[in-house]
Amino acid sequence: MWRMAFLSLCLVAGPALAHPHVFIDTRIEVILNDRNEATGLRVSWTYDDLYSLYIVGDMGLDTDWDGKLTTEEEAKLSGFDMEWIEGFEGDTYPLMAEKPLVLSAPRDWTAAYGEGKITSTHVRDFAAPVPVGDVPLVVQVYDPGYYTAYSIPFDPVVTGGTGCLAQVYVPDMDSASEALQAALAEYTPDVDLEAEFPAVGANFAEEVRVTCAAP
Amino acid sequence: MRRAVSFAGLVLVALGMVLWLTGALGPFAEGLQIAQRAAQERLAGAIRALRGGEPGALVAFWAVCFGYGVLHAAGPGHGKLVIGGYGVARRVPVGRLAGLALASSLAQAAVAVGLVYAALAVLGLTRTAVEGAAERWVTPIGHAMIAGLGLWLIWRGWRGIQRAEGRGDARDHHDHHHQDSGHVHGPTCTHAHGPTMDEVERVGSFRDGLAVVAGIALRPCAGALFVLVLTWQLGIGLAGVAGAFVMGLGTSVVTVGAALLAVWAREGALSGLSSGAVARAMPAVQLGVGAVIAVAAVGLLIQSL
Repeated sequence: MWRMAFLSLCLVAGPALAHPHVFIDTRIEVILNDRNEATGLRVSWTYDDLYSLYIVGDMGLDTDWDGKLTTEEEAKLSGFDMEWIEGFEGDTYPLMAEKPLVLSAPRDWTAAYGEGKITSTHVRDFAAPVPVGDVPLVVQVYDPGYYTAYSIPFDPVVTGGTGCLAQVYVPDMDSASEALQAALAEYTPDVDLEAEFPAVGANFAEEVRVTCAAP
Repeated sequence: MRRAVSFAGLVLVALGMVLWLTGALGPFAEGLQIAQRAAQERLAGAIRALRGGEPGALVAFWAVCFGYGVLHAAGPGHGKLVIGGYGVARRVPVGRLAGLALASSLAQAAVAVGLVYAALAVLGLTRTAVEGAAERWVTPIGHAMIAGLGLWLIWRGWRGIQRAEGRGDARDHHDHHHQDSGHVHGPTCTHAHGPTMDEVERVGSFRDGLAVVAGIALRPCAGALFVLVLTWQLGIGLAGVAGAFVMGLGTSVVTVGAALLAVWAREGALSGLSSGAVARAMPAVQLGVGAVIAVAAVGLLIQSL
């Protein structure tokens, strides 16, 4: 029990000392079938100027510095962020009724460069179609290590389904800290804090909530 | 009067801690992140201007580097924890602590420069290899150093408490001589067998200082890595290296500030105590601060492995 308590304390203290070095603007597209079941997500990441410049420069692209890539260069760039190391969850965490849902590996990725920023997209499928009704399907975007700061400034997109609506929720920082403290206060030995912890960290994440009217 | 001023430091730090722990600094943190992001964009702009050979671009680039350093240090970070914690736990003179803060910031820049140039220029490796080396090797070693410093403070605090309780007095004494005389031997060894208390303190401080600087420096700032790799590719590597050190100077503004605050708070807390009470209190403080540093560093270590 003490080992567990110590470990969870460490896991809370670690990210508290981190600050982001990469900033990503996210767009979430939820793909539904005609039974209002979510089948997948299309995730779009727009990287900040410095990181974009860093990647493009390193790959030896845009050598004339006009801020545009040729079709061949874009093809070369595509997939630069898709070689995920084991354990990387794509910083995308879908939940239904607070239960995490499993997503496939990414597919159909693209990358483009414009106005000094790289935007990449990829699609991930749900392990099984997720029926969406009154209870929202929640898609959280965050980096548990907080090396990358994600925000969702773009309106989410709903593709397919009938009577479905997607909205962005920005965390209430005060209640997020309260939740963190409550989670620590309520800590008991039978709670696996390690498993619970991502949900606490997610309180600080922006998220998309999708609901559908009854068909 | 002097006591009131000392005490104000303690109150200030305590207030800051309470605000931070209750999440009242949330809006500040948000504002800071917006500023950090803006600095990141300005840095990209400055590098573009540099590439375009615009007049005054170099000075503008360094100015942005400095601002980037200040802003990145202003948020949560391991440097302030180590400098602040060490400053509270040990009665280091303020000048030495501030010097350590400055040295660690510049050493951090030197580590980034060394890493990038060793990997890119000498070994001909790629950007991913540099990032990999930073993440897989350098950073975990730095975290282990910080954890070591925490454990060292715990150990010393524990020994201090035992001594204060008057148990195992003689053995402690013997151990101390034995341990420390081993460390006095060096290139400048003057055969000082049976070191005086002063010498013991000096060796302890030197060792501490090394752990403080190395622990902080071995976590190269990603921003510095980005800048170094980019400027190297643009063929303006020297401007980038200078930029990394300017960034370090920016960082040191905040860490030196943390050093001053730590000493101010420590002396404030101790000013109300008699010298006997101070001798009793310091080991407990050392133990507590050491525990906090060790816990945080182990957390960072787990994440970075």
